[in-house]
Amino acid sequence: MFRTIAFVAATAISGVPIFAQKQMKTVAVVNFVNSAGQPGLNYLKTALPESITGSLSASREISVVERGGLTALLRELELEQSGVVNTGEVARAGKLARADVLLMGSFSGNPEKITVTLKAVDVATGVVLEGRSVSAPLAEILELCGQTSLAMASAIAGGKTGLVTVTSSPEGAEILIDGIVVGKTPLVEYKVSTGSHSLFLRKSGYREEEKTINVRAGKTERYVETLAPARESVQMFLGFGYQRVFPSAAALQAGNVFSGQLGVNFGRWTADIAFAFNNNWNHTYSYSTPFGSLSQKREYTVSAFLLGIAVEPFQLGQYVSPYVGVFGGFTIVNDYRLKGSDDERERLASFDLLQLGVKAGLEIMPKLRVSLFLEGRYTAFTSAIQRSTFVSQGILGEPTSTTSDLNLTNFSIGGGARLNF
Amino acid sequence: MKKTFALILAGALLLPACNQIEEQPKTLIFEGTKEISLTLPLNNQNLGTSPMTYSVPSEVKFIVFGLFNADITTSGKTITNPTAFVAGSRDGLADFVRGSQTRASLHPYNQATKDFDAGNTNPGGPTDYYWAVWGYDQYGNLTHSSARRKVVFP
Repeated sequence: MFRTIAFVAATAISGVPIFAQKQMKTVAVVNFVNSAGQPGLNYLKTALPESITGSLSASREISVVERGGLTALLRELELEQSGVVNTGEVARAGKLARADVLLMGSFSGNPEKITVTLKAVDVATGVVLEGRSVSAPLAEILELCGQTSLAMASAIAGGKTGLVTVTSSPEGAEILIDGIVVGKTPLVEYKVSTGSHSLFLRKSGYREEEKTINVRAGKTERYVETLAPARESVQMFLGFGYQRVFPSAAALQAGNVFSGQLGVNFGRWTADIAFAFNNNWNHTYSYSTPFGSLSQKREYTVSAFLLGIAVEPFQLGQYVSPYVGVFGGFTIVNDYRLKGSDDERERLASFDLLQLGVKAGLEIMPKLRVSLFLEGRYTAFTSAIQRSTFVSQGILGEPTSTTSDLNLTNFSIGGGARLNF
Repeated sequence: MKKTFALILAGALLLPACNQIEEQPKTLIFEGTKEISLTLPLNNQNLGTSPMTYSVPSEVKFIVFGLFNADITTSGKTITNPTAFVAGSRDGLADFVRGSQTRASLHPYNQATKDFDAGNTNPGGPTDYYWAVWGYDQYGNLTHSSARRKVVFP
């Protein structure tokens, strides 16, 4: 009974089952070899192993030999001097360090780009259990090597692994698995531990792709990604649009709005300034006269200066970019009546209003020089306008006018084209 | 010499006659309208057996002929002395003839309906009346009008 309690307590405290601890492999990280030929980088011979040791100590799959006592031992074996390690030396060093696996490495390159090769060698057999190569600027290499060694821990521990093959169109995309750069596409049969991992691809000029992959033991998982061209971080555009307007007020007929836009994209965000006009928004009505029922033909013209902002809430692939946004601005509404047989326009009134609205749409082929867009808008105005209508006064002259509130709130749908530059 | 004398004498006799032709009123009764020109009778003349005639542009859709027993007063595009409006005719009435209005085919103006009654009326005389014509387009906008003229009904 006491033994059982002790077992459970030990398990709880360590977080790792006791039987697993007994099977845990011990790794010793030896000094790295400077293949760069730059004495200024010699500090990496010990800095890299120190960083890697620190990272590996966080692993629950392996245990790491404290480097404090290891350095003297390795110096004795002159492993760090030659960089040439044969099976006998590995076995000897491993036994002296009481390690099952030696993690060795070398580095080359220059401070702008240092390439580090990591190799985990089984002390008992001399077999390379796992090897990785990473490249990064000097400022990032220590952290990257620590992450890479942690990713190697599963293979070192003898855990179940699978293979991942990643190709992309175009090729040459940098691949990160669980945040660690593992190479560029095409990546063929890269060994990773089983389970769920994050796969991230990036290439300059293209959109980043990220997905969760599931690796099965002994299986090869294949991923083919088509990278969509990325929008420039800051991109201007000149646009032209048409909207069919459906007013909420029954007195108004459907109309047409044409607009010109000048805008800029900031990644997912878009801001634009637009001029929109509607040259013939009809509001015909009938009224009684001594000559019978006549239809009074009237028109509104709407001119608006609008500011808008929109954001791409989510991605819909390579060819379509959805967006939602708001807009608002100053609006001039002129009320005209048509006269005579030649429909001469006579302005009856003019109104200055503010309009506010929301919009949602799709931009088609957003990465090309010329893109298309489809858009729906809901527009509201800060106040109604006074709509004047004729009331016949018989034959004593012109009919008199009466006025009533007319709300210009409307829904519109349309599209257009943008020239991106 | 005889010929020259005869011409001078004829000119001397005709000039005073020309001076007797009165200048016709030109101010249209409604502001901002285009002209309907009145033909006969001239201003201040008696109405004989001939009808009152006028010339209407073709773009005018509806015509109103108005006869008033006082000078016609307007404000903007509205008649302001409808009580003086005694008779007339318009498009839509059965006996209306565009461009020509006889005394017998006049209709009384109804102050209540602000339109002409269907029956005819023959305003009595001798009395001075004022007449004018105005027109509307197809939408009911008042687009044309004439000047006013005084006419004497014998």
